[in-house]
Amino acid sequence: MIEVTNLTKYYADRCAVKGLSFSVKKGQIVGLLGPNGAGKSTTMNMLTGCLAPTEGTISIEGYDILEQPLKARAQIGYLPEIPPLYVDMKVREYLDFVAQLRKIEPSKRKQEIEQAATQAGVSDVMSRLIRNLSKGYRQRVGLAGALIGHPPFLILDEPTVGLDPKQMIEMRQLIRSLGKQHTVLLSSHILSEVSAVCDHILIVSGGQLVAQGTPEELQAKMQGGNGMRITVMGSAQTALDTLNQHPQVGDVRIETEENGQAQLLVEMADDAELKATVSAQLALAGCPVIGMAANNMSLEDIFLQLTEQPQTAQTDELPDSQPEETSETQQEKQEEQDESDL
Amino acid sequence: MKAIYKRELAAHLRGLIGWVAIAVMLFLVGIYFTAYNLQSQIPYFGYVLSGISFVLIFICPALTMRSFAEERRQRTDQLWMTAPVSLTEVTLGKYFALLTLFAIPIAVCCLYPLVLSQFGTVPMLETYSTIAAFFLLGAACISIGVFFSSITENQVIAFVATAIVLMVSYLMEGLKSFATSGSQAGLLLFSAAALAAGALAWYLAKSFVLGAAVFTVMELFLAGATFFRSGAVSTAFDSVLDALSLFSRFNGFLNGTFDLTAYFYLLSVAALFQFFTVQVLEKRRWS
Repeated sequence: MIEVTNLTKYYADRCAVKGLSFSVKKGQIVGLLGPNGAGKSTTMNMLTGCLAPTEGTISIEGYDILEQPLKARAQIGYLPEIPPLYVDMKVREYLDFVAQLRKIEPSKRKQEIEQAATQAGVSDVMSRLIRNLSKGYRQRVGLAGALIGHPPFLILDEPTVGLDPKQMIEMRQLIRSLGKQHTVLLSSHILSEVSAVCDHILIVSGGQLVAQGTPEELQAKMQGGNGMRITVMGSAQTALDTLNQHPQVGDVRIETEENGQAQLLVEMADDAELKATVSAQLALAGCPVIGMAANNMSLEDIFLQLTEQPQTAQTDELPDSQPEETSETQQEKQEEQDESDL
Repeated sequence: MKAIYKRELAAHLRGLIGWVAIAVMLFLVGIYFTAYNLQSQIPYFGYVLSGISFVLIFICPALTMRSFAEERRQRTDQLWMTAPVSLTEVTLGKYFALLTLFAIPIAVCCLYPLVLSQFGTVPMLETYSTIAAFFLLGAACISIGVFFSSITENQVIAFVATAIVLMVSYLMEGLKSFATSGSQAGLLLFSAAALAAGALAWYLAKSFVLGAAVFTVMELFLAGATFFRSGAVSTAFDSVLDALSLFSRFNGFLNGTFDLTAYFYLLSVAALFQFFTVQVLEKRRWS
């Protein structure tokens, strides 16, 4: 288990990571999500011992990264954003070098190398110079290097950046399959990737943790109660006024108005009868309804919403302090329990 | 350490620079050997080494400029920064690989006295202790080069900085005789040293105030020393110049003296700069 408490890093006087606390439990695939410059790479560099934190502690399987660096680092396989490959070596030589660096016994080395190469899918390029490999293969060789010695934790910094769509999908499948044997922490600024691969998501912005949970939890947290998206023909203002008169309708917001059509975000229950009356009233007012759907916030929206205002978000109280989530009860409690576990 | 050593040595032997450096050195050895030992018929091989010692000014930085600078530029340093190895192991692995490479031409040099001894009497013990001193001189120069490679990610800067330092060290004896006339030169040198120390403090701590403070304190100390004991400055100046002159230690061996302190001196320089290198790398984690 990786425990991070109050992690802070200053570069000169610029703050890259501020008061980050989280933990990664065994067997999880955790995604560190954030826009560029959110402090993802800095965090990963600190987790792997490449950088020392200005403040805060990191413990990996109980080994503090500063107190027992060698033992802590032995628990981790790290694939940095730019794979650290010696391009003048052949793949087999490189993996052998990594195995020696990681102090694998000579008798087991060959087997370890074969295994890592098979897992990462580089068995067919073992005798080629790394210089001559494509970007996708280089990434895989880097991953094979991280896999050598079966470290319980894999830390992958933007593992799919620069790959073509097919390679991206392959890499994701690979990470998923690795998740069965290793605990994986990966960073990305691509949301769909993280939600497709990860069991648990940590969203960072401006060096702070702004939200965490499973993809479903995050979605549930941010759904904003019962919202409906209603599209009408005609004037948006008329529709707004009509809707505001209805007692069971809460807050109404005009989203777009163009080509004689208007889209409104309406706070109301997803109830058939209510929907029927609302649509009848709108039709009477001269704004016939042409579309009505429950407005589920996508993870994309959540991400944007969370990362746009990093200053206002406070890590500790975030899940409860968001005004949108008043009606979430059971799930909320479940989450609180989860967090108190951490 | 073994892993790094093997990789580095293999990389040197695969690359061009190592072989070119060896070739240049052996070529010059051949020329000087022909001139001194064959044509002038002098049995001392040390003169050849003394003749070619200037080439270390260029060969050592050429060998060492890549060692850390290139790794940093390519980000391959992250591999061993995050592997369960200590930075001392990494640094020494790289250093010993360079020494092994440097030992190749030295090993060839060891054959020359044997060839000479076929045609006359060669003072073997004297010759081989000189060759050993030359190897240690190279070891010290390489250590300095590795240090400069560790503070930058630009190979060219590493090369130039090392070459300048070695050049100054090489010319030190000449500079010394040039500047014994009084304590002005001493003051100038110590002021320059204070300035350099201040600049280094400024660069490393990224604090101008600290750099200025270091400079001011050193200057005040210097002024005090000059005021109260003016002789002290020129004496100190001489011994500082002595201490900075790597090459003069080697030249002592040419007179046929076996100077154990010179061995220790060169070894200490090598060890000191290896220590500095580890500190620079360690510091990078905390930047």
